[in-house]
Amino acid sequence: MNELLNSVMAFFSSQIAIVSFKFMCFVAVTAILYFIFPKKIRWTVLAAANTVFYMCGGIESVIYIASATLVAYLSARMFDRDFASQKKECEGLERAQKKAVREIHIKKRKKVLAAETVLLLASLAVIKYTGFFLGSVNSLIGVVGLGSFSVENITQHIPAILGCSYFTLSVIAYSVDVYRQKYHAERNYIKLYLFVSYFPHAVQGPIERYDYLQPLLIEGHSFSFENLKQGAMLILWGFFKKLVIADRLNIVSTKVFSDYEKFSGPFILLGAAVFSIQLYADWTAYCDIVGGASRIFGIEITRNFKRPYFSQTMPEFWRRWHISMGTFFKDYVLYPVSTSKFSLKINKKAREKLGNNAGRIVASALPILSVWLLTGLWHGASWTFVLWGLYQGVLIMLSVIFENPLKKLCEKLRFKTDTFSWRLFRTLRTFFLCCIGRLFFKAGSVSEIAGLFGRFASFSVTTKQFSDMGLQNKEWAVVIAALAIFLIYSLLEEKYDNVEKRLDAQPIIVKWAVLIFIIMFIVVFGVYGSDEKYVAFVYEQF
Amino acid sequence: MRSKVFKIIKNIVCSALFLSILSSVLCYFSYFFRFEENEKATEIIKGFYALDENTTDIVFIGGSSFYRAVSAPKLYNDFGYTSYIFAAPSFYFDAAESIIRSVRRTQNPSLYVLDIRRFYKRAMWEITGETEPIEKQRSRMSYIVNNMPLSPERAMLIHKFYNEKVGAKEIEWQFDYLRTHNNWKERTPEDFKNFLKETLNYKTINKHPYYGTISCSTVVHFDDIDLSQYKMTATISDELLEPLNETLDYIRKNNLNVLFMSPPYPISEKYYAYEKFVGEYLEARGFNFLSGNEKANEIGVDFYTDFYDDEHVNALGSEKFTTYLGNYIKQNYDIKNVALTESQQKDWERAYNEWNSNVLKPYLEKILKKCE
Repeated sequence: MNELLNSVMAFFSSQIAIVSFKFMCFVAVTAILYFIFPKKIRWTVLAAANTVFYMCGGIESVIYIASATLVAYLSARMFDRDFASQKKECEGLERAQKKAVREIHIKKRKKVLAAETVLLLASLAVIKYTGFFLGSVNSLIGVVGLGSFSVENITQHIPAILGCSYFTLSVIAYSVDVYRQKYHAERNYIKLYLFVSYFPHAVQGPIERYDYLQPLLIEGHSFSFENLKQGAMLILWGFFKKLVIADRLNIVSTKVFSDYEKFSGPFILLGAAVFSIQLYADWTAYCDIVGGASRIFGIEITRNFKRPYFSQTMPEFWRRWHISMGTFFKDYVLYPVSTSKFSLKINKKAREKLGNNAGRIVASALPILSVWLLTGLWHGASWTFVLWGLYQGVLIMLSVIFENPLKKLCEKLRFKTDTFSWRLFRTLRTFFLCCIGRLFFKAGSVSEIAGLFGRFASFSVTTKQFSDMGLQNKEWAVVIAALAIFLIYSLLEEKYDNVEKRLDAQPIIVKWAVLIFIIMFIVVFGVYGSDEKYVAFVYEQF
Repeated sequence: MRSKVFKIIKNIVCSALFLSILSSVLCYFSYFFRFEENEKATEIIKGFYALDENTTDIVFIGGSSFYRAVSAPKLYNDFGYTSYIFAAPSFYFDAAESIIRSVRRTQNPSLYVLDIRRFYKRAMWEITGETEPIEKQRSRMSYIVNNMPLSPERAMLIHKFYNEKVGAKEIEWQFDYLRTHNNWKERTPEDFKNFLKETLNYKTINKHPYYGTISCSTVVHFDDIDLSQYKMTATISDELLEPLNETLDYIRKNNLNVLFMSPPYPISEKYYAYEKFVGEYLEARGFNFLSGNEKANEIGVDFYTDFYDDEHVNALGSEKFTTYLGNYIKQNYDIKNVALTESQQKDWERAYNEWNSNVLKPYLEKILKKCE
């Protein structure tokens, strides 16, 4: 009995990695308990499971989430009460009086929302950006000659909170939505905690919306074999992308970017392309594994990707990549900034001075660049991410600027734009621009970005550089085969949306043959085992 | 309601069927990725599982000293005993019970001969602290484990042996793919073709030409050993005797005929002390123990000509020892010969003739030349 207890304690004494037997056991046990419990209280099982999940990563994460949830809970309840009292106070009043009352209450709620947002973002900043800030200060005082200090001595005391970048934004979105009266505040603190801490979206998102996810979490779903099958298929597909594609390509991207001076321009670009695919496979693998786990409970989490590398323009790319973050920044940064008094003022002045078209472009620069600056900062505490964000912002601006002129030019030249070759060109062009962006993303410092771009001065292509990328020919063959499978799946998904459902509808022998093939592919060609080091998900660091 | 129940049953049955098919496919292909570290050991172990069922009178289970010292073709030709030398380099005695169980799946020999040298040597190392490097300990069983078919006996053997003590994770050995899947990088399409061929013709391809016997013509000269000069004594604790006792319990429970044996070798005083202790321990419990060292004079051992190193006899030593062993078994055991078909008999005759002309005669000539 003691041995069993010790084994159980050991099992849960370290963070639960998503790609692990531990996670599968965790999901299995949670699912069994979930469906055993009466429907009305099944949501409590999820809340308990979330707590266990976070506890494995350390009690600090649980305390932080519970605190952040409490802050949002109290603010949102305050908003609801204030709306109710505002309504009551306005009864029987004249229009002007109503306006005055309304303004007092709006001011009050705004203060609370601002205070809450600042508190949450400040906490996030302390956790994520202390090192960055202190590092910058340290460099500055070093340059000025005022000495230096050890940044690590300070940052080592700051706990790492699992998924803080994701759930903080979810919590802020919830508060803002209640403030905007999109829906009422959640009266039950545990139910709100459940939404914030839901373990499938804990580590890498998506950044869920309360009004979408909450009803699904609270409703006690019945066991469905179809959900179990499709969830399992999705998990399997996630393992394929992670173990066969992402982790093997990681070998190449690590080799190229850790030792970029060995490689010429074409290989740096190839490394960037490899990293782009690795990142996509890695992140969508996570989404599929947690999405599949969630589907077993009958809960469908938000799709975060929609075949972004099929995009033909950068704006389209960002509507397909990390969709939840894009919509978050659109709803809570872009629109508020665009419709702010300051922005409207600039808009008016720009149109007056530069004309309607140019004015519109200049006016849209502020919100767009703000969004991308924040997006870059959200990704990481580093100037490289800031530059990456600005790069993306500039690309979006250029798309806006050149959209109409290019369209007119194509019409004048009678260029056929509804052909496959034109669409392919635009898709490849967009992918190329993404790859350039990855150079900022992957670089460890600003000087490294300059170094990477500097490598484009050399165009030498040698077999030595190819072998230095870290994969044998056989491994490249496996990667290409796996990417071909991935491409086929993506094309099917583009056409049919839910590939698992369609596969489930196929004759049993076809279904089983496909599943066994994929499983064997993972088992044989996957990067796992004691010979291989566990490769964390790339976006886990954010 | 009825249709709901039917749907549930259908789902369960389909899932179970799918998992069975998946397991079978995974098990089948796991053989393709296994390591083949030692060609000799691979041939011997696979050769055992390629035998026709119930065709062995005697099965020898042990280490390299067994396949060097015992000539199965000679035992057949001179004494009419069919046998197999189920042995791998540096065999680990703890595996004896699991291997006997595995042997009993396809064979029903009248006599099992177990290599006791591996037991007392390891016990001695534990006591004196002269432990072998962990990697060597681990590799001892990998020669057998990597070539055994998937079975409960293999799982039992892995469970017994692969643990933190030898720096191994049991799960990586129970689920081969965790260790071996990266072998796909070394495998070629030719290997895959051979693997498929082996699947269809396992018995033909893996048949060992000499039923597990291997020999050599190397000679290393040693001085004569007089055991009467050895005065050292030794004891082994109950804890270290546990693997032996477990094996003895299994043997008793299943009423098996077992001979414990240690072929001759230039034994040191220290090793002899432990061998003597174990021999007396076994005999006190009613088991036969044949020490090739104690019977060296009767065997006709010549320390100058008969050894290829300090652990193993060469072809000449093997000839002498096999003759002695055959007579010993004849005198002490009532072996009921298995009924062989004509083709099986012909194969034994072929094995002896080839062994004699292609191995024994040339090796003996070389040995005698070296000793002139």
